Amino acid sequence: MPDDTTSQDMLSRLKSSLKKITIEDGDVSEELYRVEGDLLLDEDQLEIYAQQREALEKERSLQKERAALGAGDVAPQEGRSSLVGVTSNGKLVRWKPGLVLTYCVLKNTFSSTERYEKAVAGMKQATWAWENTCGITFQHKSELDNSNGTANPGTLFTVREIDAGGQFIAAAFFPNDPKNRRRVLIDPSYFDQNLSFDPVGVLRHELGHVLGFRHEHIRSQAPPQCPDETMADTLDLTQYDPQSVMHYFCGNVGSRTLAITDIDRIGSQKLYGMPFSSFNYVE
Amino acid sequence: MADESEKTYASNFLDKHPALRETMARSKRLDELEKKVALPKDDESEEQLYIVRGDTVGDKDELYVDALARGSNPETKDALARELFLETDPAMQALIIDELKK
Repeated sequence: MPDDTTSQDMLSRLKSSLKKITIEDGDVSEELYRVEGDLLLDEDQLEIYAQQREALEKERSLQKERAALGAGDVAPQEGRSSLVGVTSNGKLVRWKPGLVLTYCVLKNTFSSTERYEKAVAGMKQATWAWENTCGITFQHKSELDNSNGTANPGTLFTVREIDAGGQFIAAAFFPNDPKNRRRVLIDPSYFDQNLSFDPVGVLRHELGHVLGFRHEHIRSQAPPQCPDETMADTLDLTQYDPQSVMHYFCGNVGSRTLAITDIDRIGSQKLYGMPFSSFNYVE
Repeated sequence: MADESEKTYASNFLDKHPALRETMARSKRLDELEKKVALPKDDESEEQLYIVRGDTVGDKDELYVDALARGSNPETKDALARELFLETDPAMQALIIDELKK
Protein backbone atom coordinates (compact mmCIF):
# COMPACT_ATOMS: atom_id res chain seq x y z
CA MET A 1 0.00 0.00 0.00
CA PRO A 2 1.35 3.42 -0.88
CA ASP A 3 2.42 6.05 1.55
CA ASP A 4 0.63 9.41 1.40
CA THR A 5 3.17 10.99 -0.96
CA THR A 6 3.03 8.27 -3.58
CA SER A 7 -0.77 8.18 -3.61
CA GLN A 8 -0.80 11.95 -4.02
CA ASP A 9 1.52 11.53 -7.03
CA MET A 10 -0.82 8.94 -8.48
CA LEU A 11 -3.78 11.23 -7.81
CA SER A 12 -2.09 14.12 -9.66
CA ARG A 13 -1.25 11.84 -12.59
CA LEU A 14 -4.82 10.57 -12.79
CA LYS A 15 -6.29 14.06 -12.55
CA SER A 16 -4.17 15.30 -15.43
CA SER A 17 -4.83 12.30 -17.66
CA LEU A 18 -8.47 11.36 -17.04
CA LYS A 19 -11.38 12.74 -19.01
CA LYS A 20 -13.62 15.05 -16.97
CA ILE A 21 -17.37 14.97 -17.28
CA THR A 22 -19.68 17.69 -15.97
CA ILE A 23 -23.02 16.55 -14.60
CA GLU A 24 -25.71 19.25 -14.42
CA ASP A 25 -28.48 18.88 -11.86
CA GLY A 26 -30.66 22.01 -11.81
CA ASP A 27 -28.49 24.90 -10.64
CA VAL A 28 -25.80 22.55 -9.36
CA SER A 29 -23.08 21.15 -11.54
CA GLU A 30 -20.53 18.54 -10.51
CA GLU A 31 -17.30 17.63 -12.26
CA LEU A 32 -16.54 13.92 -12.29
CA TYR A 33 -13.59 11.88 -13.54
CA ARG A 34 -14.18 8.95 -15.87
CA VAL A 35 -12.10 5.86 -15.08
CA GLU A 36 -11.96 2.39 -16.59
CA GLY A 37 -14.32 3.43 -19.37
CA ASP A 38 -17.55 3.81 -17.49
CA LEU A 39 -16.95 4.65 -13.85
CA LEU A 40 -17.60 8.25 -12.78
CA LEU A 41 -15.78 9.34 -9.64
CA ASP A 42 -15.81 12.59 -7.68
CA GLU A 43 -12.67 14.01 -6.05
CA ASP A 44 -12.94 11.91 -2.89
CA GLN A 45 -13.69 8.75 -4.79
CA LEU A 46 -10.80 9.42 -7.14
CA GLU A 47 -8.47 9.71 -4.16
CA ILE A 48 -9.45 6.24 -2.95
CA TYR A 49 -9.12 4.90 -6.49
CA ALA A 50 -5.62 6.43 -6.70
CA GLN A 51 -4.60 4.67 -3.49
CA GLN A 52 -5.84 1.36 -4.84
CA ARG A 53 -4.06 1.83 -8.17
CA GLU A 54 -0.87 2.77 -6.38
CA ALA A 55 -1.07 -0.39 -4.24
CA LEU A 56 -1.55 -2.58 -7.29
CA GLU A 57 1.29 -0.96 -9.24
CA LYS A 58 3.62 -1.30 -6.29
CA GLU A 59 2.79 -5.00 -5.94
CA ARG A 60 3.32 -5.56 -9.67
CA SER A 61 6.66 -3.82 -9.53
CA LEU A 62 7.72 -5.91 -6.51
CA GLN A 63 6.74 -9.05 -8.39
CA LYS A 64 8.85 -8.06 -11.37
CA GLU A 65 11.81 -7.42 -9.06
CA ARG A 66 11.35 -10.79 -7.39
CA ALA A 67 11.11 -12.52 -10.76
CA ALA A 68 14.22 -10.68 -12.02
CA LEU A 69 16.10 -11.85 -8.95
CA GLY A 70 15.17 -15.42 -9.84
CA ALA A 71 12.85 -15.82 -6.89
CA GLY A 72 11.08 -18.60 -8.70
CA ASP A 73 7.53 -18.73 -9.90
CA VAL A 74 5.52 -15.72 -8.89
CA ALA A 75 1.77 -16.03 -8.93
CA PRO A 76 0.02 -13.26 -10.86
CA GLN A 77 -1.23 -10.64 -8.40
CA GLU A 78 -4.70 -10.54 -9.86
CA GLY A 79 -5.13 -14.20 -8.98
CA ARG A 80 -4.37 -13.66 -5.29
CA SER A 81 -6.84 -12.71 -2.65
CA SER A 82 -6.44 -11.73 0.96
CA LEU A 83 -8.37 -11.21 4.19
CA VAL A 84 -9.06 -13.47 7.12
CA GLY A 85 -12.72 -14.38 7.55
CA VAL A 86 -14.58 -15.13 10.78
CA THR A 87 -16.05 -18.62 11.04
CA SER A 88 -18.62 -20.26 13.26
CA ASN A 89 -19.10 -24.04 13.37
CA GLY A 90 -16.65 -24.30 10.50
CA LYS A 91 -18.59 -21.98 8.18
CA LEU A 92 -17.72 -18.46 7.11
CA VAL A 93 -19.75 -15.74 8.81
CA ARG A 94 -21.35 -13.03 6.65
CA TRP A 95 -24.47 -10.89 6.59
CA LYS A 96 -27.51 -12.45 4.97
CA PRO A 97 -27.73 -11.79 1.20
CA GLY A 98 -29.86 -8.76 0.43
CA LEU A 99 -29.63 -7.33 3.96
CA VAL A 100 -29.10 -3.57 3.93
CA LEU A 101 -26.70 -2.59 6.70
CA THR A 102 -28.51 0.40 8.18
CA TYR A 103 -26.84 2.69 10.68
CA CYS A 104 -27.28 6.02 12.38
CA VAL A 105 -24.70 8.36 13.87
CA LEU A 106 -25.86 9.27 17.37
CA LYS A 107 -25.38 13.02 17.38
CA ASN A 108 -25.85 13.49 21.13
CA THR A 109 -22.83 11.29 21.89
CA PHE A 110 -20.45 13.61 20.02
CA SER A 111 -18.87 16.42 21.97
CA SER A 112 -19.38 18.90 19.11
CA THR A 113 -21.36 19.28 15.89
CA GLU A 114 -18.08 19.45 14.02
CA ARG A 115 -17.09 15.98 15.29
CA TYR A 116 -20.51 14.57 14.46
CA GLU A 117 -20.27 15.97 10.93
CA LYS A 118 -16.78 14.54 10.51
CA ALA A 119 -18.04 11.10 11.58
CA VAL A 120 -21.01 11.32 9.18
CA ALA A 121 -18.75 12.33 6.29
CA GLY A 122 -16.17 9.67 7.14
CA MET A 123 -18.81 6.95 7.30
CA LYS A 124 -20.22 8.09 3.96
CA GLN A 125 -16.85 7.70 2.27
CA ALA A 126 -15.93 4.46 4.04
CA THR A 127 -19.26 2.76 3.30
CA TRP A 128 -19.00 3.96 -0.30
CA ALA A 129 -15.56 2.36 -0.56
CA TRP A 130 -16.87 -1.05 0.60
CA GLU A 131 -20.01 -0.80 -1.55
CA ASN A 132 -17.73 -0.36 -4.53
CA THR A 133 -15.55 -3.26 -3.47
CA CYS A 134 -18.03 -6.08 -2.90
CA GLY A 135 -21.74 -6.88 -2.93
CA ILE A 136 -22.89 -5.06 0.18
CA THR A 137 -25.17 -2.08 0.81
CA PHE A 138 -25.04 0.35 3.73
CA GLN A 139 -27.72 2.92 4.45
CA HIS A 140 -27.37 5.95 6.71
CA LYS A 141 -30.72 6.55 8.45
CA SER A 142 -29.91 10.18 9.19
CA GLU A 143 -33.44 10.82 10.46
CA LEU A 144 -32.48 8.74 13.53
CA ASP A 145 -29.25 10.64 14.25
CA ASN A 146 -31.02 12.96 16.69
CA SER A 147 -32.39 10.13 18.85
CA ASN A 148 -32.02 10.59 22.58
CA GLY A 149 -29.69 8.48 24.66
CA THR A 150 -27.34 5.82 23.41
CA ALA A 151 -29.76 2.97 22.69
CA ASN A 152 -30.09 1.78 19.11
CA PRO A 153 -33.19 3.54 17.73
CA GLY A 154 -33.85 0.89 15.07
CA THR A 155 -30.88 0.46 12.78
CA LEU A 156 -28.60 -2.53 12.36
CA PHE A 157 -25.81 -0.65 14.12
CA THR A 158 -25.02 2.73 15.58
CA VAL A 159 -21.98 4.97 15.33
CA ARG A 160 -21.09 6.95 18.43
CA GLU A 161 -18.31 8.76 20.21
CA ILE A 162 -17.10 7.16 23.43
CA ASP A 163 -14.18 8.27 25.57
CA ALA A 164 -12.08 5.12 25.97
CA GLY A 165 -9.03 7.12 27.00
CA GLY A 166 -7.26 6.49 23.69
CA GLN A 167 -7.27 2.67 24.03
CA PHE A 168 -8.32 2.68 20.39
CA ILE A 169 -8.99 5.23 17.67
CA ALA A 170 -12.18 3.44 16.68
CA ALA A 171 -13.61 0.02 17.42
CA ALA A 172 -16.22 -2.24 15.86
CA PHE A 173 -17.95 -5.62 15.98
CA PHE A 174 -18.34 -8.78 13.93
CA PRO A 175 -21.57 -9.94 12.24
CA ASN A 176 -21.98 -12.85 14.68
CA ASP A 177 -21.44 -10.73 17.81
CA PRO A 178 -24.44 -10.27 20.13
CA LYS A 179 -26.78 -7.49 18.95
CA ASN A 180 -25.91 -5.20 21.87
CA ARG A 181 -22.34 -4.98 20.56
CA ARG A 182 -23.34 -3.69 17.14
CA ARG A 183 -21.72 -0.31 17.52
CA VAL A 184 -18.91 1.49 15.76
CA LEU A 185 -17.18 3.37 18.57
CA ILE A 186 -15.11 6.45 17.94
CA ASP A 187 -12.65 7.64 20.58
CA PRO A 188 -11.91 11.39 20.89
CA SER A 189 -8.36 10.62 19.64
CA TYR A 190 -9.94 10.04 16.19
CA PHE A 191 -10.49 13.79 15.94
CA ASP A 192 -6.92 14.70 16.86
CA GLN A 193 -5.41 17.05 14.27
CA ASN A 194 -2.20 15.01 14.50
CA LEU A 195 -3.85 11.64 13.94
CA SER A 196 -1.27 9.63 12.03
CA PHE A 197 -3.85 7.58 10.11
CA ASP A 198 -6.27 8.61 7.39
CA PRO A 199 -9.50 9.02 9.40
CA VAL A 200 -11.62 7.61 6.57
CA GLY A 201 -9.16 4.72 6.37
CA VAL A 202 -9.74 4.02 10.07
CA LEU A 203 -13.48 3.68 9.34
CA ARG A 204 -12.80 1.52 6.26
CA HIS A 205 -10.85 -0.78 8.60
CA GLU A 206 -13.63 -0.84 11.21
CA LEU A 207 -16.25 -1.57 8.56
CA GLY A 208 -14.05 -4.45 7.44
CA HIS A 209 -14.68 -5.98 10.88
CA VAL A 210 -18.39 -5.22 10.52
CA LEU A 211 -18.35 -7.23 7.29
CA GLY A 212 -16.64 -10.15 9.01
CA PHE A 213 -12.93 -9.68 8.39
CA ARG A 214 -10.32 -10.25 11.09
CA HIS A 215 -6.94 -8.54 11.26
CA GLU A 216 -4.58 -9.42 8.46
CA HIS A 217 -1.49 -9.16 10.68
CA ILE A 218 -2.51 -12.13 12.86
CA ARG A 219 -1.21 -14.51 10.22
CA SER A 220 2.05 -16.32 10.77
CA GLN A 221 3.67 -14.51 7.81
CA ALA A 222 3.18 -11.09 9.43
CA PRO A 223 6.18 -9.42 11.11
CA PRO A 224 6.70 -10.68 14.69
CA GLN A 225 6.30 -7.11 15.99
CA CYS A 226 2.61 -7.16 15.03
CA PRO A 227 0.16 -7.95 17.86
CA ASP A 228 -0.91 -11.58 18.19
CA GLU A 229 -4.50 -12.73 18.44
CA THR A 230 -6.22 -16.05 18.65
CA MET A 231 -6.58 -17.66 15.24
CA ALA A 232 -9.44 -19.87 16.36
CA ASP A 233 -12.63 -19.54 14.33
CA THR A 234 -10.90 -17.88 11.39
CA LEU A 235 -10.40 -18.88 7.80
CA ASP A 236 -7.77 -17.46 5.48
CA LEU A 237 -9.60 -16.37 2.40
CA THR A 238 -6.16 -17.03 0.88
CA GLN A 239 -2.71 -15.48 1.03
CA TYR A 240 -1.25 -12.88 3.39
CA ASP A 241 -1.46 -9.27 2.17
CA PRO A 242 0.81 -6.87 4.10
CA GLN A 243 -0.95 -3.90 2.49
CA SER A 244 -4.48 -4.99 3.38
CA VAL A 245 -6.94 -2.47 4.83
CA MET A 246 -7.20 -4.94 7.73
CA HIS A 247 -3.46 -4.84 8.50
CA TYR A 248 -2.18 -2.71 11.37
CA PHE A 249 0.80 -0.49 10.75
CA CYS A 250 3.37 -2.71 12.48
CA GLY A 251 6.79 -4.19 11.78
CA ASN A 252 7.33 -1.66 8.99
CA VAL A 253 4.42 -2.98 6.96
CA GLY A 254 0.82 -1.90 6.62
CA SER A 255 -0.29 1.57 5.70
CA ARG A 256 -1.52 4.67 7.41
CA THR A 257 -3.97 5.33 4.57
CA LEU A 258 -5.77 2.01 5.20
CA ALA A 259 -6.98 1.84 1.63
CA ILE A 260 -8.83 -1.19 0.31
CA THR A 261 -6.35 -2.92 -1.96
CA ASP A 262 -7.17 -4.82 -5.12
CA ILE A 263 -6.22 -7.93 -3.19
CA ASP A 264 -8.75 -7.02 -0.47
CA ARG A 265 -11.30 -6.57 -3.23
CA ILE A 266 -10.80 -10.10 -4.48
CA GLY A 267 -10.88 -11.51 -0.94
CA SER A 268 -14.04 -9.64 0.04
CA GLN A 269 -15.76 -10.71 -3.18
CA LYS A 270 -15.20 -14.31 -2.11
CA LEU A 271 -17.55 -13.56 0.77
CA TYR A 272 -19.99 -11.04 -0.74
CA GLY A 273 -19.61 -11.24 -4.51
CA MET A 274 -19.09 -8.34 -6.88
CA PRO A 275 -20.38 -4.85 -6.03
CA PHE A 276 -24.01 -4.32 -7.01
CA SER A 277 -22.90 -1.39 -9.18
CA SER A 278 -21.15 -3.91 -11.47
CA PHE A 279 -24.44 -5.22 -12.81
CA ASN A 280 -27.08 -4.05 -15.24
CA TYR A 281 -30.26 -5.28 -13.62
CA VAL A 282 -33.02 -6.43 -15.95
CA GLU A 283 -36.65 -6.70 -14.77
CA MET B 1 -27.64 -20.71 30.24
CA ALA B 2 -26.97 -19.62 26.69
CA ASP B 3 -27.49 -22.08 23.89
CA GLU B 4 -24.21 -23.71 22.79
CA SER B 5 -24.49 -22.18 19.31
CA GLU B 6 -25.00 -18.67 20.73
CA LYS B 7 -21.93 -18.80 22.94
CA THR B 8 -18.69 -17.27 21.79
CA TYR B 9 -15.73 -19.40 20.87
CA ALA B 10 -13.99 -18.17 24.03
CA SER B 11 -16.82 -19.28 26.34
CA ASN B 12 -17.04 -22.68 24.68
CA PHE B 13 -13.27 -23.08 24.94
CA LEU B 14 -13.23 -22.23 28.65
CA ASP B 15 -16.23 -24.45 29.37
CA LYS B 16 -14.44 -27.30 27.66
CA HIS B 17 -11.40 -26.79 29.90
CA PRO B 18 -12.58 -26.20 33.50
CA ALA B 19 -8.98 -26.04 34.76
CA LEU B 20 -8.49 -22.90 32.71
CA ARG B 21 -11.73 -21.42 34.06
CA GLU B 22 -10.44 -22.02 37.57
CA THR B 23 -7.14 -20.32 36.81
CA MET B 24 -9.08 -17.45 35.26
CA ALA B 25 -11.27 -17.07 38.36
CA ARG B 26 -8.22 -16.91 40.64
CA SER B 27 -6.14 -14.58 38.50
CA LYS B 28 -5.26 -11.21 39.99
CA ARG B 29 -3.53 -10.27 36.76
CA LEU B 30 -6.80 -10.63 34.90
CA ASP B 31 -8.30 -8.06 37.29
CA GLU B 32 -5.48 -5.73 36.27
CA LEU B 33 -6.13 -6.34 32.59
CA GLU B 34 -9.86 -5.79 33.05
CA LYS B 35 -9.27 -2.40 34.61
CA LYS B 36 -6.96 -1.45 31.78
CA VAL B 37 -9.27 -2.26 28.88
CA ALA B 38 -12.80 -1.93 30.30
CA LEU B 39 -15.14 0.01 28.05
CA PRO B 40 -17.05 2.83 29.76
CA LYS B 41 -20.69 1.90 30.41
CA ASP B 42 -23.66 4.19 29.84
CA ASP B 43 -25.47 2.71 32.82
CA GLU B 44 -24.90 0.07 35.47
CA SER B 45 -27.33 -2.43 33.94
CA GLU B 46 -25.24 -2.66 30.80
CA GLU B 47 -22.99 -5.71 30.26
CA GLN B 48 -19.35 -4.93 31.02
CA LEU B 49 -17.43 -5.14 27.80
CA TYR B 50 -13.73 -4.87 27.04
CA ILE B 51 -11.53 -3.93 24.15
CA VAL B 52 -10.20 -7.18 22.73
CA ARG B 53 -8.10 -7.96 19.66
CA GLY B 54 -7.04 -4.30 19.48
CA ASP B 55 -10.21 -2.67 18.21
CA THR B 56 -13.16 -4.96 18.71
CA VAL B 57 -15.34 -5.55 21.72
CA GLY B 58 -15.76 -8.68 23.80
CA ASP B 59 -16.79 -10.03 27.21
CA LYS B 60 -14.51 -11.27 29.99
CA ASP B 61 -14.11 -14.76 28.48
CA GLU B 62 -13.04 -13.27 25.16
CA LEU B 63 -10.67 -10.91 26.91
CA TYR B 64 -9.00 -13.78 28.77
CA VAL B 65 -8.76 -16.15 25.82
CA ASP B 66 -7.40 -13.41 23.56
CA ALA B 67 -4.77 -12.53 26.19
CA LEU B 68 -3.76 -16.19 26.53
CA ALA B 69 -3.30 -16.45 22.77
CA ARG B 70 -1.17 -13.30 22.74
CA GLY B 71 0.77 -14.36 25.82
CA SER B 72 1.63 -17.72 24.29
CA ASN B 73 4.19 -15.95 22.11
CA PRO B 74 7.40 -15.78 24.19
CA GLU B 75 8.39 -12.64 22.28
CA THR B 76 5.19 -10.75 22.93
CA LYS B 77 5.57 -7.17 24.12
CA ASP B 78 2.39 -7.57 26.14
CA ALA B 79 3.88 -8.44 29.54
CA LEU B 80 0.51 -8.84 31.23
CA ALA B 81 -0.71 -11.30 28.59
CA ARG B 82 2.53 -13.25 28.98
CA GLU B 83 2.06 -13.42 32.75
CA LEU B 84 -1.51 -14.64 32.29
CA PHE B 85 -0.26 -17.37 29.98
CA LEU B 86 2.48 -18.39 32.41
CA GLU B 87 -0.05 -18.65 35.24
CA THR B 88 -1.61 -21.64 33.48
CA ASP B 89 -0.10 -25.11 33.98
CA PRO B 90 2.16 -26.62 31.28
CA ALA B 91 -0.53 -28.93 29.92
CA MET B 92 -2.86 -25.98 29.47
CA GLN B 93 -0.08 -23.96 27.86
CA ALA B 94 0.37 -26.67 25.26
CA LEU B 95 -3.37 -26.74 24.68
CA ILE B 96 -3.54 -22.97 24.25
CA ILE B 97 -0.79 -23.02 21.65
CA ASP B 98 -2.41 -25.94 19.90
CA GLU B 99 -6.00 -24.70 19.88
CA LEU B 100 -5.74 -20.90 19.82
CA LYS B 101 -2.75 -20.43 17.57
CA LYS B 102 -3.35 -23.13 14.98
